Amino acid sequence: MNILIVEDEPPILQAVAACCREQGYTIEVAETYCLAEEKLHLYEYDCLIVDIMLPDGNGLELIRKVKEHASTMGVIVISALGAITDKVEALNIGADDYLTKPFSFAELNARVYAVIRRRRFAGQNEYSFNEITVHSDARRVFVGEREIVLTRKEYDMLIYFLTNRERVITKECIVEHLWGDTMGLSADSFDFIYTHIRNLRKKMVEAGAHDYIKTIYAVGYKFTSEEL
Amino acid sequence: MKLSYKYRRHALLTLVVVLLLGCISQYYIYCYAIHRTTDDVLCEYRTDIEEYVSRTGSLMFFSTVELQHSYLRTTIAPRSHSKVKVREVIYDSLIYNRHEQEFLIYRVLNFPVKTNDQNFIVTLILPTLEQTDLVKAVVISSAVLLLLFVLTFYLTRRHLERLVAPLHKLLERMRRYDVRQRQAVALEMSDIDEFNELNQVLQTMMTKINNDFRALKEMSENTSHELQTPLTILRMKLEQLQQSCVDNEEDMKNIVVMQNVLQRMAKFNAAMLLFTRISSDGFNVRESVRLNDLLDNFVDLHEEIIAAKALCVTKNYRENFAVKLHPMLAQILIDNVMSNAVKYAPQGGYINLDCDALSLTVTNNYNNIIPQGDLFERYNRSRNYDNSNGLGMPIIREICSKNGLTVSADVTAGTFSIRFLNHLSQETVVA
Repeated sequence: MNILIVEDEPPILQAVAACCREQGYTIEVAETYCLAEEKLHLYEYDCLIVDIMLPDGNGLELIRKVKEHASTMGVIVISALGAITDKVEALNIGADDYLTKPFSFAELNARVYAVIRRRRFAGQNEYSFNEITVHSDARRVFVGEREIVLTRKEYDMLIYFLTNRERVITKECIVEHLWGDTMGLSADSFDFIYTHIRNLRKKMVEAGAHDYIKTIYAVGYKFTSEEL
Repeated sequence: MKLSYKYRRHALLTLVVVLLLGCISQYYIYCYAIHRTTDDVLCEYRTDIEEYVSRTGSLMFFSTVELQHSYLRTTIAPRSHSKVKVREVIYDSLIYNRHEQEFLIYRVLNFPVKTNDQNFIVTLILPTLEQTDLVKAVVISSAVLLLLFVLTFYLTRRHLERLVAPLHKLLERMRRYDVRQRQAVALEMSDIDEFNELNQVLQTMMTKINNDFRALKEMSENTSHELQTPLTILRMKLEQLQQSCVDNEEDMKNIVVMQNVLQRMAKFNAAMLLFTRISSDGFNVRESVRLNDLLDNFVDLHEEIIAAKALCVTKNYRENFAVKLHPMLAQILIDNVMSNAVKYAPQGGYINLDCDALSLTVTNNYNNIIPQGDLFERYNRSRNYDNSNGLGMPIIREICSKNGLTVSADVTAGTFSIRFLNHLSQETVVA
């Protein structure tokens, strides 16, 4: 999977690139509009992660140019322009997703995974990790041959964990992923996370899967196969 | 009360008092003048009689034409007691008038006259102006004056209205002035220097307000925007640090604290940015949105958390509550209202959703964590709820005030309700 990251702030660019490399993606970076345009002209990418405000141009213009060629490339906008109108404009011209700064790596991973899955496999794909298989199109989960029935939020949580394997994920990140900014970081949402992760682990273990979700005390969780 | 009306009322009251006092004083002045004139006539005639007596030494031929007066009556009576001293006296007296067949007021002058051989008392009687006639004259003259004054007032008012017309125009334009329109109000020049001076002062003031507002808004937006990049770098670096020190529990705890603080800062920043955008009419595209549909969406999307809190959500939609609003703002409005209801409702509590075409009310019971005072005040947040940035309710009010909605909150014992009223008719909203 090839990803082009266009961002003019070097610390953010390096951090995002490192995060994506960890997930096994091949990364190209561009700090300016011109360089990005040139790379897009020469190479083919599966996903473009682009900032709107660039020193020599506008990221939205870059998206327009990409979409002119009916490209199947997924586009994720990352911008400090959190205004809803900018988000609507970006999505209208063909961006697949929009992340407002500051965002977490876990959220970025989940979005990149969702965009690439949708674009490359037209949403009909199968994702496997050891004994766990996920049919994204039907939102069904199997442990070996055995199907486990998950609630909507449990399913979303599992996908989130699978796309962020071997990473410590805080409870706050999970809440933000499941409800966005709406619910905030309330005690209710933490209780809910705790209850549903417990249920998810129980369902998976009962179906014969290993207990991949480890609790990191006072922080959150980690989906890991280290102890296997 | 208008200045001109107040002035007219004051002037009219003063005029009535002045006219009343004028009538009274006029009456007494007329009385005095008439008596004076009558007395002068009587004295003049007395002098004539005295001269006649001193010339002729007799009153025998007094009735000659030479000394007769057309409307003066004279009676001459001999004095019976010549040794008694008689004083000259002048007074008013009611005397029956045969022609008029009524008693009329006469001015009477009694004086003693001594001829060669006898003492006489001469009485001169002269009709004077009747009191009722005098009062009538005074009242009529005052009424005429009053009429003239009223006429003058009317004409002055018309003229005054024309004179102050530029001031009214100026006030009307000032009333419509909105700093968020970012337009200076063009004020008309007048031929009155004071108004032109006022125009110039206001024009200068508005230009300054507009510039200050623009500068403040730009500064807020730029600050919020510029903060987002360092916040992103901080968050990413903390995350990287977190991934590398899983084994050190103390470090992990510290990182989580920093992340939470950073997250609060980021959310506050985003809320400030949103608030500034709404205040400066950054969302000027308005569509018809049914808020009760958004309530349903929220409940569906959060059914797990509602179930986890065992909240009882009841809906009573008698009609759709449609408003003209930017769809995203409508979403923010409902998200804020509903997330508050879910957050503040206690375990096993209730949320009632009630609406018709004109109003929408969300009611929930609550525990003791509702903030005190004006809930729509900025930064008024519950002490027991640290994660609130105190901007949720002000954002709700700002959205409402910009889009023709009225919002009110009611906190009674154990129950909180927030109510939205739509000022636009449903035909307007749907159109």
